[in-house]
Amino acid sequence: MTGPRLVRPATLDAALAVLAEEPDARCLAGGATLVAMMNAGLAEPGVLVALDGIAELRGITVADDGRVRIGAMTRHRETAADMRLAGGHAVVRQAASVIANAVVRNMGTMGGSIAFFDPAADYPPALVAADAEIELASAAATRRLAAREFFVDWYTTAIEPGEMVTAIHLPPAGTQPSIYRKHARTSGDYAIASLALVLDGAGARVAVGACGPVPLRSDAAEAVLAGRLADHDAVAEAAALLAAAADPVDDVRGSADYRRRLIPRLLQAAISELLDTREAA
Amino acid sequence: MNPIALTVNGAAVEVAAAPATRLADVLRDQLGLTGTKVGCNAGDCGACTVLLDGAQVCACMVPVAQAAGRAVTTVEALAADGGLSRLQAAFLRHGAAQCGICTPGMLMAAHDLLERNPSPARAEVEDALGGVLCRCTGYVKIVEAVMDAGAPATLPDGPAEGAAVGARTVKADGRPRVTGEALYGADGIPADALALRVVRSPHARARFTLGDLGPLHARWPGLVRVLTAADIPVNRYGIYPVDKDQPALADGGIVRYRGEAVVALVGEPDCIARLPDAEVPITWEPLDPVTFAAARRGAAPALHDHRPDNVLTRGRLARGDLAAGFAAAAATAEIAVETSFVEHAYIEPEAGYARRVGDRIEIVACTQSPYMDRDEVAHVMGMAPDRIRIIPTATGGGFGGKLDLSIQPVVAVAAWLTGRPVRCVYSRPESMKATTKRHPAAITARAAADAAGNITAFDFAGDFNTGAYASWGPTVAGRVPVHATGPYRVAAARVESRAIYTNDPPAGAFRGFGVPQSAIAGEALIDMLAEKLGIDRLEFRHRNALRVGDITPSGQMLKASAGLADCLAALRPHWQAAQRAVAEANARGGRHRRGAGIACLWYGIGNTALSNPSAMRLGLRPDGRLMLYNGAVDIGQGSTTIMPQIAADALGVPVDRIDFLIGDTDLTEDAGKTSASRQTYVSGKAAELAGRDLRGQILRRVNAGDDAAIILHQGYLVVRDGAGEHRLDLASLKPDERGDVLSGHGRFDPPTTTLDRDGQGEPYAAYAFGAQMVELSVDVALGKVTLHRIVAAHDVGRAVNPQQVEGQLHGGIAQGMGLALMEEYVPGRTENLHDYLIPTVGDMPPIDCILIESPDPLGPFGAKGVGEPALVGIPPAIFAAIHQATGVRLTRAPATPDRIHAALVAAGVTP
Ligand code: FES
Ligand code: FES
Repeated sequence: MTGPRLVRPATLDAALAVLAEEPDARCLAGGATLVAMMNAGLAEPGVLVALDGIAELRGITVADDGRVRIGAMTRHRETAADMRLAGGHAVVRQAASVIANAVVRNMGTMGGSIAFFDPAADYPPALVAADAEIELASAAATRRLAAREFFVDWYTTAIEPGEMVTAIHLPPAGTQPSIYRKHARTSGDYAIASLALVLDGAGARVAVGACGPVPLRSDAAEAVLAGRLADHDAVAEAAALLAAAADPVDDVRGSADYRRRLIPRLLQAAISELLDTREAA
Repeated sequence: MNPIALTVNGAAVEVAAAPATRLADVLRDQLGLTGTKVGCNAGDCGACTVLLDGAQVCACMVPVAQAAGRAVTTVEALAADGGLSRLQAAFLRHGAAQCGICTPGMLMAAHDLLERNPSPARAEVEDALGGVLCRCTGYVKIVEAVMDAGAPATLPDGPAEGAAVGARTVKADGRPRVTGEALYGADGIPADALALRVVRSPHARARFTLGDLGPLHARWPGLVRVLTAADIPVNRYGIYPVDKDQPALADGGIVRYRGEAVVALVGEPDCIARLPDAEVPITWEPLDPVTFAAARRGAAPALHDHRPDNVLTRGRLARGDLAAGFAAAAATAEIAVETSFVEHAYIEPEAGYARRVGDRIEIVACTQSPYMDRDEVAHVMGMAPDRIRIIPTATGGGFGGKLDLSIQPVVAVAAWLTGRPVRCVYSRPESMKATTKRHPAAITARAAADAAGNITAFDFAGDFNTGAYASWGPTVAGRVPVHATGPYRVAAARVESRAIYTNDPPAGAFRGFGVPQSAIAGEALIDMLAEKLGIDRLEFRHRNALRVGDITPSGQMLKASAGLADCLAALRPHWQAAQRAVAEANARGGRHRRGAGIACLWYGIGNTALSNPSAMRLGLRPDGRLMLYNGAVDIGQGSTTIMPQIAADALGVPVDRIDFLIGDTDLTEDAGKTSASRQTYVSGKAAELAGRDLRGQILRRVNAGDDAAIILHQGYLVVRDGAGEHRLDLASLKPDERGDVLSGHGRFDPPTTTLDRDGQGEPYAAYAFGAQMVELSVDVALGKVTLHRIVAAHDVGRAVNPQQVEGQLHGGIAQGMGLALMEEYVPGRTENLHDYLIPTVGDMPPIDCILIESPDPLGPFGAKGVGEPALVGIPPAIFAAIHQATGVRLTRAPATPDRIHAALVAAGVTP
């Protein structure tokens, strides 16, 4: 069997050049998703561009002003262990730590995960709640996109042909806590539903995972929460707005109805947990 | 192709492979490192876990070119200097490997952790092993072993003479399982073998026509042959002698389930791997499938001409005056329960090969039942059984699913017709689609008790979805009536069961044969009666528990070995503590509600009211060693270890003097199949008798008394009794055709009677008993269950090897958790191990095992069986605990978060 060609460029520019020239090239990050799809006959790329030799795609840097850059090839294991991701960034670290299991966390990368974009995966809601920006590069240009715009539809992102994810940027976060909570059938499964919450001033940013084509965020709900996080009625009202905006499906992990009903409970639980943390701190 | 250079186990290697070839395939096929297993090829099972630059990865997901210039470490490196590593030794000491198919992956995942953190905490171990699935052990002993991996790499000494039974001896076939040397179905395939892949039906029910195969052959020169039904000499098989209904390849232009075999492509491996199913000219005309609901109502077309009403078989039991029992009741209860298809999910998909040897066929494959395979393949080939030889490989789990034929008939026909060895290795989705499942059940039941708390009546009707073909459906319909009441004195009982054909996958044998499903209904009724009468649930069971001298609902007097009351007594302090914990936790309120559940079980050992003999032979070699010819295949449960333990004590020699030969139908005696929890009891008894026979022969030769000691030496033995010492020179004796100078033989067929039309008789010679207890919490907001602790008390007669008994309990308990909470096979939807979930290490609560030894007078040294009983009580105990926690009684398994939540909403427990 011959299968696809594999190139392993040492620089980002070399990788982007291959992507520009070969229309059926696919980036190979950790392999945790793409190779599984190839094994199942669901993907047949002509060229694999292995990114693991490109140093500039690796690692997490924290700037003096609190901005964070996470290279696309940073593995979940590294992200989960990086205690500099604290306060409002903890949501991303927590999401990394509950992805699948140890071996997947050791193979999989943040760039690979979000580029494939399973809506039941853990990073998308966390990045949306963290107001992350996704850095995309092609041979021609580099651009940045808010996570909310990056995730477009079921398994669909804003990545254009010839482009790849190169980094994830987190804005400076305050010291207020953040949280990622996943409700799954068993330890290691994808989420039935998940919720990412970042306290922000007197309010909060909330994103719900696995309850629609993209991570669910509602400006109206966040407006209700502003200044009223400890108010049970406000939380219920915000939750109702989120649940109404959700567009979940029935699948083996749970029914659409169940998912919609989970949203208020996840929100309530996450807020009380965070308020407790804030009080304790 | 440019060669790819990498370092494997410290040595630089260059491989010529396409760059995207998976590392797992390169290791196995090119470098011969078959210790790395492939269980799913999808990143779900972790059987392929190796280290890449020291960190664990799934080798099935790594294109080999990505490993270029990097260091790969496989299980074969762990014992590189010939001695076991500390971790490997710890696995053997703790009995952490059962079937062993997950062991290499577990070892590598643990090795990754231990290199970074030599003394990890339990949570760290569980986290590190989270990507590797095990279906046998419940992970308990694996975690224990990893935590003990700092201890020196030593193994305990073998037990002294006469002390083998009851000893925690190290698994006799354990070493190759921790070194990666054990060869499973896919591991030892000859290089010149042709490959075979089956093309399967994508429809549950359809008509099909096969077009002209000429163009396919023309396009694919490597395609040697396309087998169709016309190539199968006798195209019907099935485990029962009559009504064999399953074709090896679909015939008559009809398929009856999604996944049914239609044609088999045989050819050069590369061609078979690339040839897409879609190119095979099959035209489908899908038809409306017969569903379980429609078939139960009798409103469906017949699947098979010989069963116009789709009822494959019925089972029945009737005893006492049911109406009087209900009339006299102070409390009555009723329930309706439904369960789902459950997949065995052994980590090793079916695999093996066949070759033609003169006018015989040899099949080398994983299996639970070599002798039945031999007879079935002979039947399909239209040959006498002695022309078929079955050589079992190591078998990576079975649980009932490897009792039926899978690859065997098609590889046999292909090898016969082509004259070449032919291999077949199922993919994970193929294994899930094609092979048998646990029967879904639809049960209605009611029961009554008098004011004193005695069960006065029990009435049960259970339908079992047997799928498209009979398989073990009759066994389920026959076993259920005997067991349905649970292990209780019941004044009057009526049980009716039916196995019903549908266009679902064939349901067959799966650990418990319908008894676990029935227990969900029966034990719920027991709880409801106890609650209505205001009697503690444990005490109610204790009052009604079958004891020695009682008559079972099938009219059998229990003459000995009925230790259920002792099991309950052993649970009592744990139960009372659990009830206090429940009260305390729930007094605090909140969304996490705590509950405890208890369930009793019994299990008849061996076939139901049918002969099921085993034979064993123990030979004395001229050099003074012993050879046990052991036809019992060990699919992980441990028979290879305990048969020598039993034989050694029966003969009176240390167990380490015994070598063994396992389950080759040409070389061993028929020890039946590894099912029905029968090997310890039936084959174990045969091993005991073989040992005693050999002992008798030796003592008679030297005229020694019964209490004499036998001491084996190189080339001679000494018998010592009160009268002195007698020497027997083994070289002076004439060896038989096996090369043995003396040979002991044992055969045992448990005494049973047939059952009359009311199911009355003595269907089993022995019953195992047990009581199991679960503590859990339910997050009522989310419908999520968290298990806190399980305690299992089992009357095993005698624990021949307590470590292995515990291992069986742990594994059965994990499977019971899966049945209760997460496992549901839905054709077309859960045909892989990420949609179909089995418990992972992170799902397991602490488990305490309590072994009660109420010796059986016939069993070897009093032993009975434990394989299946282990899981029976767990689902009902979980359901009962959820009921205590929430007040809601669930009636549908699995109780997924979704279903629990819906039930809580319906009951108003949660908004
Ligand atoms: S075979 Fe690689 S994870 Fe299952
Ligand atoms: S021992 Fe783990 S799968 Fe069998």
